[in-house]
Amino acid sequence: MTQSIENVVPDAATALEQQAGPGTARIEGRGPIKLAWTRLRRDRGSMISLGVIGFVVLVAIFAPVFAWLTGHDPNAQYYGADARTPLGLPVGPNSHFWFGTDTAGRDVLVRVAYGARVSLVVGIGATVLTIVVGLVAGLAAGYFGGIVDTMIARLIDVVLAVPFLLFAIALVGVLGNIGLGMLIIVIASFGWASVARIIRGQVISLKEREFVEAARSLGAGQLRIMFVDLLPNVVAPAIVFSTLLIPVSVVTEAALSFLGIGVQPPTSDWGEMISDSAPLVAEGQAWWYLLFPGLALLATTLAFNILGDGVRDAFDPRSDRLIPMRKKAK
Amino acid sequence: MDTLHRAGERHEASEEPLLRLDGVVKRFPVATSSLLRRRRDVVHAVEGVSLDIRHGETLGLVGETGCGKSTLARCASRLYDIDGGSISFDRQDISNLSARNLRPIRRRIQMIFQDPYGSLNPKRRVGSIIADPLRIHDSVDRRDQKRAVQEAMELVGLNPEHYNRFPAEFSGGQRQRIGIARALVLRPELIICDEPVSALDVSIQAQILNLLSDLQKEFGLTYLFIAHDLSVVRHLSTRIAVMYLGRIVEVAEPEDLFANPRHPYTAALLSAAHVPDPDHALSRRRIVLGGDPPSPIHLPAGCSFHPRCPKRLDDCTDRVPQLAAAASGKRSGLVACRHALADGEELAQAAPALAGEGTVTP
Amino acid sequence: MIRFVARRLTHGVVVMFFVLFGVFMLFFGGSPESVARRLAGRQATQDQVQRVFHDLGLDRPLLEQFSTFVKGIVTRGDLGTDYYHGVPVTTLLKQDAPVTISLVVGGAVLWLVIGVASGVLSAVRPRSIADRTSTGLALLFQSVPAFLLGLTLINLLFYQLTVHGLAWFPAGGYVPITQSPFEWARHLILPWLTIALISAATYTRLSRTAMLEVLGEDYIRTARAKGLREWRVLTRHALRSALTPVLTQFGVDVAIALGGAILTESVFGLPGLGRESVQAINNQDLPVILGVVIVASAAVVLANIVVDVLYALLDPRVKLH
Repeated sequence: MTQSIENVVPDAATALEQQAGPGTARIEGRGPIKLAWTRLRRDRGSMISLGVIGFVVLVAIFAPVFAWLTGHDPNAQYYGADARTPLGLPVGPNSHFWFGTDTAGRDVLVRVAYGARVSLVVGIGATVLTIVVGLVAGLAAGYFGGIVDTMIARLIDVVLAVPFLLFAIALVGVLGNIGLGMLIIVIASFGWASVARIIRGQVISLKEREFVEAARSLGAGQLRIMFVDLLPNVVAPAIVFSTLLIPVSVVTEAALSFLGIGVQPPTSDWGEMISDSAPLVAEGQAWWYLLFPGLALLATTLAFNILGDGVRDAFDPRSDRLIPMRKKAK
Repeated sequence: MDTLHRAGERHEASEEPLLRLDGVVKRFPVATSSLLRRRRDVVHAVEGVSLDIRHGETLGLVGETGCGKSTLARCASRLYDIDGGSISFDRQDISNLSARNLRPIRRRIQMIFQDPYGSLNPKRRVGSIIADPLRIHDSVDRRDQKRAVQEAMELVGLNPEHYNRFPAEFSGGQRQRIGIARALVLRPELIICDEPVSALDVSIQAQILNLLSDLQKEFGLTYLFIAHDLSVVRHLSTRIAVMYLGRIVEVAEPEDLFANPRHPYTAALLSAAHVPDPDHALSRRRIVLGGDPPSPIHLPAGCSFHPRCPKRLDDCTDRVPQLAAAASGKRSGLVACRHALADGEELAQAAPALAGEGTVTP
Repeated sequence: MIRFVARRLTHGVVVMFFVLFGVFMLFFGGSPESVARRLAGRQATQDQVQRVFHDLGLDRPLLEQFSTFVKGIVTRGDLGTDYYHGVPVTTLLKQDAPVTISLVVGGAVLWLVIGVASGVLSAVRPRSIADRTSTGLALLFQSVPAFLLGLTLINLLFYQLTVHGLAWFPAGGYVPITQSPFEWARHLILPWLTIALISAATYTRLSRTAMLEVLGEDYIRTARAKGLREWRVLTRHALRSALTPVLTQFGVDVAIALGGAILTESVFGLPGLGRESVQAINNQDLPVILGVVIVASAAVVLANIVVDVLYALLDPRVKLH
């Protein structure tokens, strides 16, 4: 007969704590998000990108300041020698118009500043909507299974089969030109499918884990399991996805405006400016009209992409990074 | 305190079991990718199990991997719907209750799981995990929740200051304690333990078993304790049930079981159990079972153990033997064998011609 | 395997059915008068609108219209009439399709080759100058919108070169391959580069990661230990496993590529399906858009089926049931 073994050999962790005393419990566990943020802070590329994005956000918020500084309204058309050539063509950067003028004699600098507003609002707005819808759809499809899953999965297939730009064109054809709000909804109505597909896959594999069984045995309802138990486990891929989605949404918005079916003139928009500059640039004219909005677009997208890489790595460190992280001093 | 009192009362009031399983059947369809026909193969996980669990006892349930004990545990806690038979808890039939009607029952039956790494949500803080039952059943308001959780943590031997830590920061044994705390926080009556120590180091196993034993005394708990290791179960149980291929083959008190196993399978199991004394270990005779390992899809006809039983006789394939009081003997056990071993009968000497034969009868 | 293909085809048909349904509801939903007006186009006179109304039978119940619509497509390949140009939509699409196909297929070949080659190269020599440059460029190109890159290329490679006397690349326009293969290719180089450089970026990073992972596996080490030449190790053993994520990505990219083609065709003035749809928007010529959407979706679905089959061939672990 075995005798009951007294707590002579406690496990190592308990032993250390008992020795250390109650005060040591001050170190609390850091959540996965806080942990990722700490790792992200050490990544130089990501921090620079964050700075660039912060700058763009500031420019967008303080666009009227640019208008005030230069004394030029974004939609006002100017006629002086500084604004147009004798033939009425745009004039390059000079002391009055730092970024030059466009085909209608408007100040490119101010318009670029205001263009940031549209890009950021649509970029971030569409992403938020996409993630929310994608998460809910993915959770529902993965957890409920059965007919709900089949329906949602079918819907995802259909959405992914239609090329987005084409569909946007079709939508505009039927509904007429769409405002900023509709633009966000249209972009989100396609993006959610990829998110949902990935989340669904994750949920399907998570569903079988014992802690889900444990929750059910406690009497947890389905909604509670989805949002209290499963959601925290899919938040990480969702965040990573959103860092990818923002630059894609920004570029998509620019592409739509480039084609003339996004934001309508006279609202300043980077895509629209690039589109407007195209015929001139093909002739070798007005390089500034392509360069500045183009650079703004490129810089913003690049910054989001680099940040996205950094966030992905912060959540799931790999060893084959492109730019090695700065090591902490030993 | 209150529970202790109540449990005591109930003990005197009636000898009704707390949990009664009656002919429980659970089958799982198997997806066959056969090119020809889609045959509906079925895994007979639990095939007619009847068991009573009395107030305040610890019923140990042992069997080899794949015998259906985990499935039975999940049926008993209504995580699965059963395909046949009935389950009664405290005289109430819970076999077919809807999720909503099951909720009040779930406060009184809790489960502890095998995998200390999988049974806790890695992305949630430990305090929140333990508070789950309180929140789900809305039994205690928010301010008292934290206190209840910390009280539970203390009961199981964890530092209540670690309320906000994540499971990853705890060792395997500590995580199992978290699982126990979670099961305790609503002061249930019955706790179903699905191999709670199988994944732990031996020294930790002892601690957890002692903890479970102490908690049982303090709160008047009833346990259904599932394990595959007989020596673990021996220490804790008031009765032991042995399961094979979805059926219970023997039920007895631990000392009787170990001294005089009645069912041939029990005897074989015992002979394979670890014995710490090397002299004893060397001197005993190992019973080696012949035949193929059984498939729960195609159950053998009659007694499902017959293909491997050293004592197989012709009438063993006729009918499924039912659990009944052992024919001979002074003790109160149950055995499902028509040719149960008598006191002192040694199985190793059984007719060798029958060992090693045995194919599964489709 | 046959069952697998059959099942994927059935699935594709189901998806196409729902695509048709969705597109149909979008275009034909609403009051019959507004639908007629919408389809007849902005320039249409009242008479023409009436004719459209009767041609399409817009007064019949919606479900009946839908079944006629589907039957027309499936049996006759009839995608409706382009009232603006006065020809069946299919005529227009048949004209435009070769352009888009040349663009997309050429671009796809180019981006796969560039992407996978640079990715593999990076993986074989990690951290080298070649690796860092190619990954850095990949990051850059992934962030450039297609139209921006196209216009930049036009300015740099067309305008600047031409002005300096080296008229190597034209600004745009299309020459059919039947007319002159050389001119065909010459006119398509800049558009191909535009599409390829951007998409290649994704594949560079993808194949680099996949290759790095595979090269670390034990069986590669065994192959090398057996004395196989590095080249054979790479091509026969490593590439196979590394290619599966590339293939998966390709399936997703077909839809994106068709979208990108719209932009590239617009920038370079290529008379393909993309530019046709943009012009159709400006002309309020809806039947054409309807036709292009259907054809494009069908192409995506088909491409995905092909990708799935290739995947099953490549990766023996894929269950064929």
